[in-house]
Amino acid sequence: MQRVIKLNLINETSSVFRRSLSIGRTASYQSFNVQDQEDFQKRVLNVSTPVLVDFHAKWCGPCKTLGPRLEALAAEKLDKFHLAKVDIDNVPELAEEYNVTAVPSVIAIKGGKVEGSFVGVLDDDKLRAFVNKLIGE
Amino acid sequence: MSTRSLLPQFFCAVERRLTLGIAHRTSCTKTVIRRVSYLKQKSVIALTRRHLISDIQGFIPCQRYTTSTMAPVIPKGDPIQIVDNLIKNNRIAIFSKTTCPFCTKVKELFSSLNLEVAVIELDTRDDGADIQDALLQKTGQKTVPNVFVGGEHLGGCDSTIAAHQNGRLEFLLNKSQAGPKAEMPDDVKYDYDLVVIGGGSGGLAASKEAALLGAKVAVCDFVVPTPIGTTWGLGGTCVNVGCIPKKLMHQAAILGQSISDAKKFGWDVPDSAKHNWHTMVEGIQAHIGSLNWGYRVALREKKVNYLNAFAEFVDPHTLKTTDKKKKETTITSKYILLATGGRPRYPDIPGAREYGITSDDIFSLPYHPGKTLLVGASYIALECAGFLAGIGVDSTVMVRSILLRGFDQQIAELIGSYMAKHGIRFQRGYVPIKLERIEEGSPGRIKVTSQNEVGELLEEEYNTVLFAIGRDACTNNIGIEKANVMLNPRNGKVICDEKEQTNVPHIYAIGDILDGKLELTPVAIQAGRLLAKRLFGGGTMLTDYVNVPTTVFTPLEYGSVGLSEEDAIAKYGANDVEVYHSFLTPLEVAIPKRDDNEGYAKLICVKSLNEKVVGFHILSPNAGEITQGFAIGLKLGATKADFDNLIGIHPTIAEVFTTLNTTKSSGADVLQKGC
Ligand SMILES: Cc1cc2nc3c(=O)[nH]c(=O)nc-3n(C[C@H](O)[C@H](O)[C@H](O)COP(=O)(O)OP(=O)(O)OC[C@H]3O[C@@H](n4cnc5c(N)ncnc54)[C@H](O)[C@@H]3O)c2cc1C
Repeated sequence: MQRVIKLNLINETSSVFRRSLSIGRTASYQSFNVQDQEDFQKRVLNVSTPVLVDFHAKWCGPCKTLGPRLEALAAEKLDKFHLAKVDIDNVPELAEEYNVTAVPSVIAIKGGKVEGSFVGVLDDDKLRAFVNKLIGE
Repeated sequence: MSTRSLLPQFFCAVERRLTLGIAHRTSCTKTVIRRVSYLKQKSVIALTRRHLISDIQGFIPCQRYTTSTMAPVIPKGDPIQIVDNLIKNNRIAIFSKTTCPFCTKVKELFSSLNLEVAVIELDTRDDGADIQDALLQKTGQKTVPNVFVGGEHLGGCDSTIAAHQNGRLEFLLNKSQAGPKAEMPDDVKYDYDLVVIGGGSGGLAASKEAALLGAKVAVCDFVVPTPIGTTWGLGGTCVNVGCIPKKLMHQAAILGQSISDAKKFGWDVPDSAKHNWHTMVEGIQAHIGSLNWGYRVALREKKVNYLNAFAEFVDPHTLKTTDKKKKETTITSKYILLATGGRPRYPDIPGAREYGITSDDIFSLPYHPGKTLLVGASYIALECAGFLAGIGVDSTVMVRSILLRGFDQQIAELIGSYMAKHGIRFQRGYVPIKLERIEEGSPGRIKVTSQNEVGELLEEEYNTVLFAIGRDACTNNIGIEKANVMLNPRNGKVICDEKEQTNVPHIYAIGDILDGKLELTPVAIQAGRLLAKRLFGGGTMLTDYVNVPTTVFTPLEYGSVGLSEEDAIAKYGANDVEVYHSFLTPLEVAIPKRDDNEGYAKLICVKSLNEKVVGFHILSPNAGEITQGFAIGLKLGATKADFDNLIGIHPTIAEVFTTLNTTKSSGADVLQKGC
């Protein structure tokens, strides 16, 4: 696993590593935009770390509320899970594969298997509970 | 011609088969055309009359009588039967009058084509008037000639000549010759039951309905980017670059008007209220994005295979599809539905494609368009000019001749003058001949040179030039010749019968590419759904293309259903048409004190049909909402008295139709006056 020491805003097409300052030490979390099915296979299905997949769309208002909150949770939990963001208009095949009909839709994947999912914006407690279950906290 | 076959002709003394040129099959391979002159034919009849006297004795009047070489000649009886039988039993049936020059013209046309026709001369029989009434009931056409080909109503002289020129006549003749449609061989296995080319209004409706009925369906939809690179998602013209964004921009403009009216109603609105182009475009595009997604999900849920790829014919049952990554796939289908819609036309002048835009670009334009020239007199040109001006864009409309061709011209002019009063500049009589870029940018600066009929030149600078001079059917790049589908050579549209079937039995067409039909979303949807039901659900209902309501969303909306005043007069004659009308001022504008008497309402009635209303027209705010409901009245054959008996809803604009009592012919003043 790559460790990033500096504040490192790599362009959106590759993994975005951000430094989390919330716990007062230099650390990283992984949040990235999924490019295509191959990318998804490599970075979501083939990894052992749990991954939250956020299916979203540019035109979706609620996605703009949920997105930053997922991002914040990922930053807080550091490497305990990764955040994979799928723009359903860019990679519709994935949305289809996971039968996404409305956005935002979030699915939790561990070891290539779907562990849970929800649709819409969850309040903070529920969201935290969902993530905690995924990472076993 | 056998003497026997002439018997009933003589007996009834009025039906006569005009044999202008008979194709006699003398052997299996050779066809000899024998032309019989009109005169010669008359003498044949005269001659046979005498010989037939004895036969006549045994003839029972009113009996159907057919022979293999003759049209069934229908004796007197039920006029509706007479009409139906002549149409049913003859490839070409003409209801005519011996004294009518247009009838002669039509007969001469068929004669010049060596085609055999069956004619009833209405003025030579005493039930002629009844037959004419029956024709009116059946076709809505009272005048003669009334021409039918292959069982389908063609219309009068002009429509017949037009049908000859645009390929429709040939289509109907071929079809009637082919006889009953050959059934599709069952042993051939195709990838799909139905492949729809075009995922727009019509294509989506048809594919979903067909899948629901159990057919295996794919829909191909691919958007070829505009010259400046605009592209969009699934759903076709209406959702992405038509009805939806247009109506939303219209709404933006209406809100602008409301904001300024609001002050007079006591709202403290700052004078600085300004419109932000980006916010509007972002909002509209977000909504469209969600619609695109919704269509995708709907296809998935209905198990329609969506192929985001461009489709073209390889042969009549095979299509090649090419996706964004240029990957090619071949698919076959039992039935193929063409629903490719249209795209805006560019004029053939220097700079048009390089520097001009169209309605395909305006709704997602990433920058404020600045000073804008709209070229064209179509409803799209006027609507775009209307909403642009309404949100504060400096807008000019350049028009070669009349506004809104095909629409009621009195109303078209009222729309023009209303728009002119509300800050839209019209340059009439000019066409652009050249566009030059003066400065790049977003927007840049473009010099437009235009010219009028006498050659006078006009030069002016604009930031944006939008062409709305018409739309071309997307039929020229789909290998249609490989499927032998007939097109109207004048406009590239697909010729179909009333079942939306082309000359190739397993290929159908709906929506904007259908020749001679309306270019409207609900029409395409209805045609798609009913066609799918007929193909896969045993349905029999046909799309009714008559009395379709429509609305032009200019600043003052214009709703109509039925005939324009011009068309009503052409169809029924000026003496038989009565127009009831009134100007109107909506209550809402009374306090802001604007637009006195700018609205207008008229009903067009046919006197001889008990004042049946054949045209409904309203120019007012919310005309679309008003027209939709009244349209059912026209569909059900409402008369002026029905409108008079209806009680109004007060206070509304629509109530004006319950109290229209001034006729246009009276010349009385219809301006609403006073406080
Ligand atoms: C500015 C504007 C405003 C309008 N406003 C209204 C309105 O207010 N009310 C109304 O009723 N109608 C309106 N219309 C008309 C309406 O949009 C059309 O009548 C309607 O969209 C026609 O539907 P269709 O199914 O025939 O084709 P379309 O909706 O045009 O769909 C055709 C689809 O086929 C695709 N396609 C074409 N060729 C191929 C190919 N070879 N392979 C794959 N895909 C292909 C196209 O990209 C397109 O997506 C408006 C149109 C415009 C331009």
